Amino acid sequence: MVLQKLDSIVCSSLTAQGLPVHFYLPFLSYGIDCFRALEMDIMRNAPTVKLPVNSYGAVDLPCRVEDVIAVGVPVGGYVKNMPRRDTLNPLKNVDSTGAIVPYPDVCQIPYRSMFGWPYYSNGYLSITNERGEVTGGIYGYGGGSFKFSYQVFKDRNQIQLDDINVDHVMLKYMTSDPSSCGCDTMVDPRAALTVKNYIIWQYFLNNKKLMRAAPEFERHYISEALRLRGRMNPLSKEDVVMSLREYTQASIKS
Amino acid sequence: MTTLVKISEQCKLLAAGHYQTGQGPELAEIKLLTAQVINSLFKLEKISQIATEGDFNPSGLMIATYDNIEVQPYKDRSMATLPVYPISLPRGMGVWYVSPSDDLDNFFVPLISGMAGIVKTQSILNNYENRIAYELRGNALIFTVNLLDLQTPVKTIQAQELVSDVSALDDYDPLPIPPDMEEPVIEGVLKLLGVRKPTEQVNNPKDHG
Repeated sequence: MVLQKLDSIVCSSLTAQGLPVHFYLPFLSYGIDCFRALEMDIMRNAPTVKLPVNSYGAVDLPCRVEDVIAVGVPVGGYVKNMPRRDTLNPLKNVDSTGAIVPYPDVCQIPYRSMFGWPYYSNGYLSITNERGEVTGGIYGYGGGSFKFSYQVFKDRNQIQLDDINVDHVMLKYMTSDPSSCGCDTMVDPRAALTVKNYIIWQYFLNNKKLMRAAPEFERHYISEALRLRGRMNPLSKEDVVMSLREYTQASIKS
Repeated sequence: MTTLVKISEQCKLLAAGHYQTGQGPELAEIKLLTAQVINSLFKLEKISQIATEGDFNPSGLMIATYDNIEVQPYKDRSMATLPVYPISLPRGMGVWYVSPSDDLDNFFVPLISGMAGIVKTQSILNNYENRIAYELRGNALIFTVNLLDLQTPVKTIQAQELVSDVSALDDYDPLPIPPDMEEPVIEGVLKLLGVRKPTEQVNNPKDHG
């Protein structure tokens, strides 16, 4: 995939404004701010990692995580995402020796766990498809599993799982710090003009003599950011057609 | 186009009548003053350019280039000493452009003095996008890394300074100033020599009785 260096966008902004290299550092600082904001709001760079689950069902978060998008378990070539819940106990359970141990299992309601997949299927009813999605048909039963869930505890820098019968989880997270390895910061070429407009807007905004013109450059930036949002929309004609076909079924005509 | 000797002799001639001996100042002294006045005018011109037009780009005549400046180790980084003190301009623009001698397009990033420590705490920014930055201290450039320890060591640098380095010129080399600056240079030198233009006297009939 073609990517553009942030350095080249900064140099392009300097050229556009006729400024010397003495403005490189502030321009780079503005560019990084914009890059981070775009990663959060529009670009949504979301890496996925496989993380081990410890003895009490918690997963340590990697240092680059800014927000958790999804937590799931690998099932063949698929990932089954867990629902998020907010009632897990944030305090760790310790035994008499001070070791951290899992809380005792109190969720013993069988009809609830029956709908969980793949670990709580009772084996008698075929209620899920090959990807573990509930297909319906069991009338009067609640759908989904309450047990198979997680909660993020930022103060512990951990994810606590409700079910500890898994060795690893797949974590999809958001980060805006992709170049912490000391490499060049690479920007999607579709976002290059947005970053450049942001840099120029900030240059005007932080210059006492030029700040009157800043609102005009702010408008340029906003319009370019909106255009970028349109460019980043992944929906295609095929997606729409497949979505319609997926939920169209033959039925008896009355 | 004038030369250093030509403009200095002009100043000497103009100043000669104002000295009691009629000799005027030494030519060497005037040459030195000429260089000082030129640098002062360059600074004035540059600052007024920035203030009024927001134009940061200097005339090529203002740029003096020094090549093969040796890089020396300095604590955990490296430094290079400029042969001429740069003129004082905002953002350290007296030093216009610095690059390795054998890679002129790969510029070093100028930092305001004391900025390196502030930037160091900021992720991504402290990488300078894989460039190397420097701070200006007096006539020394302190780099953020040791250039001699790089995978491809940089042993010498080229620096461009906004200064008219007359000392590097021969007496009969063309003086690197625009033609419209010649008169202000002469005026500036004469002013430094204490030569004043004769003031116009008002013809008052009372003075003649």
